Amino acid sequence: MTLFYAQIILLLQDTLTKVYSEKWDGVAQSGPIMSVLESNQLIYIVLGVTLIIWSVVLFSLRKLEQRLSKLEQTYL
Amino acid sequence: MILERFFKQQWWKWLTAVWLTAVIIVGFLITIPDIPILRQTSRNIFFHVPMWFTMFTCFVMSFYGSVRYLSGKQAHYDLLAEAAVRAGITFGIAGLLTGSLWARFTWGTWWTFAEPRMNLSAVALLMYVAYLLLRSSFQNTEKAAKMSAGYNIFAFTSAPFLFYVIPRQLPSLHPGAEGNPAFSEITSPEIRYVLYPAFLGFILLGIWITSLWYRVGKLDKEEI
Repeated sequence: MTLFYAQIILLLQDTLTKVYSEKWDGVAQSGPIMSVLESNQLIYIVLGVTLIIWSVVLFSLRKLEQRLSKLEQTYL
Repeated sequence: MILERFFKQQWWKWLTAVWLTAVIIVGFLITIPDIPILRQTSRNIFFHVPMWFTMFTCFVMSFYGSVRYLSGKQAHYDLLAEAAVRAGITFGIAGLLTGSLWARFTWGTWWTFAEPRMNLSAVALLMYVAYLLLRSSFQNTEKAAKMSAGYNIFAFTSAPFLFYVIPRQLPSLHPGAEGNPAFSEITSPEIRYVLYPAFLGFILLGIWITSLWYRVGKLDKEEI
């Protein structure tokens, strides 16, 4: 039981940030992706992700439509 | 049925796809007023509010289907009622998710039980989930259709109180409460340019999804 509580306490502590915080120093400013993410161009990324999700929804709807049409031609 | 012919036509589905793509692109790229706290999250209005309007449209279709079924006992109206409820619940959940996301960035929490509109909307949605459970609990399809049509009329007449009337009477952070208008003459015209087309686009998408559920229901009735 004590071991269980010890594990919970360990899980609650944010040791990950502590360990890796130094390793991330300067990384956020480097590279074209991070510079875009940190700039006002972020809206284009949000738009891009939304458009990807929307195209998947559209593709699924079209696929479903085609399958239903086939089934209707066969059975109705 | 005229609606059934309309459901199988393709032109309005292509129109919906193009229309909503344009709404998404313009919605994210248009310059909007910089409102304190809301900042760029204001763009969520183009998704969050139309989701609820689409849900209401679906529930109106469902109510119509149930009333027509009870008055004429034509099975396709019952199918329409069920299909529209399924689509309505989908958009209701999307409304709750976009609302929760917005709440996180403006109120600082994903969900709060102190917010009446948020919670009562979830309760109202559960009422429609109960409609689907009620349907599935009967072996006899005619009995299921009759009972669920009656229940649907009750749900439809109760829903406005949960979504609108009661939340307006209680203190709330959500726009639409006393002294905090949701949509008024102070709403900027830029937002209206995108919001109105978004209503149309999402309502068409709701009808599209309803049509798919309707056709699935019809095939299911043929016991394929």
